[in-house]
Amino acid sequence: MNLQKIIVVAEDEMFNGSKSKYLLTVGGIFIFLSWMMIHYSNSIISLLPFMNNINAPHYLILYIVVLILGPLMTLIASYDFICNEIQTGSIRYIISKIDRTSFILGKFLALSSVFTVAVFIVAVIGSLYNLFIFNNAFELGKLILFVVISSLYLNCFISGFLFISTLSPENKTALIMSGVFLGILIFALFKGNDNFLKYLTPYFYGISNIGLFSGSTHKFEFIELFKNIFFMIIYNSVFLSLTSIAIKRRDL
Amino acid sequence: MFLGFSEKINLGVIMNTKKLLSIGIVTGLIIVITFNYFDLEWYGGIIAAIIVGAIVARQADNSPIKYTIISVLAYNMIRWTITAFFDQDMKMIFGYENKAILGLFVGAVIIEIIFFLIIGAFSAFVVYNLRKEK
Amino acid sequence: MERGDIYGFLGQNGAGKTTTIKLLSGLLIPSDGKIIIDCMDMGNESENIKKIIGLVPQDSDFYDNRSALSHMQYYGRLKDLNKKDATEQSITLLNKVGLKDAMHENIGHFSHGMKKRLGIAQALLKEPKILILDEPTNGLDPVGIKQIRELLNEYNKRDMTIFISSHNLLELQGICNRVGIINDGKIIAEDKIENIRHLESNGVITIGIYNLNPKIINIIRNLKFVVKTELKSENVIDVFVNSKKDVKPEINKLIVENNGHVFKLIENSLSLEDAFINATKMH
Repeated sequence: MNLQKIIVVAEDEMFNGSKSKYLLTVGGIFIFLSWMMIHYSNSIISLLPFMNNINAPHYLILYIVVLILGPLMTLIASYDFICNEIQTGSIRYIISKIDRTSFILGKFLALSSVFTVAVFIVAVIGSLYNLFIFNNAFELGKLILFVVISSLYLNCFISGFLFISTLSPENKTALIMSGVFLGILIFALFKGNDNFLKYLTPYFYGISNIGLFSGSTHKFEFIELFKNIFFMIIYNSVFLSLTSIAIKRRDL
Repeated sequence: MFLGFSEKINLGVIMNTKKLLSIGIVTGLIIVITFNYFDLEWYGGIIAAIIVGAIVARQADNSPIKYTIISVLAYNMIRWTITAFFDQDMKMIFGYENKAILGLFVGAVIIEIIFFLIIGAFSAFVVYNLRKEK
Repeated sequence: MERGDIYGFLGQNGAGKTTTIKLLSGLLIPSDGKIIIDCMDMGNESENIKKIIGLVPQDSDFYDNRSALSHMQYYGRLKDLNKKDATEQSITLLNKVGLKDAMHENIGHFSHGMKKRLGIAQALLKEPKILILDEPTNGLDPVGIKQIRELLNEYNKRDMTIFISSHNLLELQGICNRVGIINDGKIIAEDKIENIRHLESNGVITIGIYNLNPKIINIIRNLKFVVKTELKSENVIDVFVNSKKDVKPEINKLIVENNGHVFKLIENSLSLEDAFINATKMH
């Protein structure tokens, strides 16, 4: 594993790669949809009466957008990130120069960076709206928490979809299996209260953090927050390790 | 001795498929019945689907998802058939002779089986593609 | 292989040439055994090995919507070159392989031959110690093949070791100094190019006999230095021999002793193609 090469792969993927425009477009669409939600947040608040009791619910709205839309956007961006290269054979020119783990981590870093930046922009837009349009105080703490938690949450899905992309022999299979994976996670989450499977889904850890944005920060238990962050990091690490194992077993 | 070479190969393929499906169905049934005994049907169904998918994917030369789906479907059908005949709660549901209740119940079972099929297929996909290519 | 060799790797379809190349370049992880390149084990030091090899894979594509120069810059940076050096070397190499005018065009517009040249150019980035090429001249016109041959010779003079697999036996004859023949995953022959014709048989003697009959053919076949015979016509037979000395007088004497009337006795050396066909048939 070579950090320098990971950065080269990530940088190329984001700015010069064949999919860089596509990736940046997906990020842009995500930002745009989030902006639309915050722009029409008053209508949303009026539709959902419980939100009237929440002080500055705009971060909450944006976080719900990330929870629901985020996995779909990451699926669209990452399902064929690896399998496309293997299918066309372009990966051979890269793997003959760097190790496989650096390649995977470089790809992950590219996707993660794009979505982290997107989430940051969304958070800044939300803060600006909060400050200038809704005349609420600027909350730096909430902004930082929003960026950290949202990007970790999206990274869980990115690592999962990269794993599936590495296993898949072709793009079509990768798309179907990524959709199946998402479906399994959603079903596992909604199965029931006594269901332990929900702990295996990133959705659970994402939803657990909603309390952070629905009230003032000090009421939320920070132990719960750190626990959720820890499990999301574990989730990422497991899937990245599996991806690394999977690519080492592939005949390129 | 009356078979030609290609017929012998076909018979070999059929025997292997039968063996594969038998292993899958029997394994699934054992796991499901075991978990049923401890009142953990839901988890038993999932674990059975994952394990059957993994076993079939390790043994199959091709189409692991197809064989997994057949195995998972088969052992679930067997399991629900046995339950329908012998379980007291099931007899009660049939005893109501109410189409709505029966329909609801059958629908829930179908959704559950579909979910197990999807889990099994996904497990087979992962294990098959994680196999070291020779 | 020795340093500075141009090693030709021959084999029929499915013999294992591409698999061998993938193992050498780290694209395939061996299930058994070791790969040692320049005293380094691929299992433990793959990163160091990848720094000294350049690979031209077979049947691999580039990104359609990127230019040749952009590809080269990326690969250069993966080879630990900084942006400036990567750009400079890329331009130099693209000029060398004849892609000077097309370096800013997208690969989607490239012909098969142009992609092959780009493949060779990217392998030469940072002038590797060992260049591995998998059928590099496939799809190239004769002018292109000649250019590639000259390029490889030029780099070989700078002490670059070249490993080249090919079906084009005539092409290998013109460039390689050592040849290995693989069949069914095993090396069945390996030697200097001048010695490889020694494989199984090192010469063919064409004999014309007016009264050629099965008795004379059997007598010739039973000679210890005769590998095989092929009847060309009613009166002409090709005799494949494996001997370091001149055996024509011995054969002639034997035929005459058995009342044969020889009207032709010519010796030809085997081409690499014949040696290859013989070797793979024998195994």
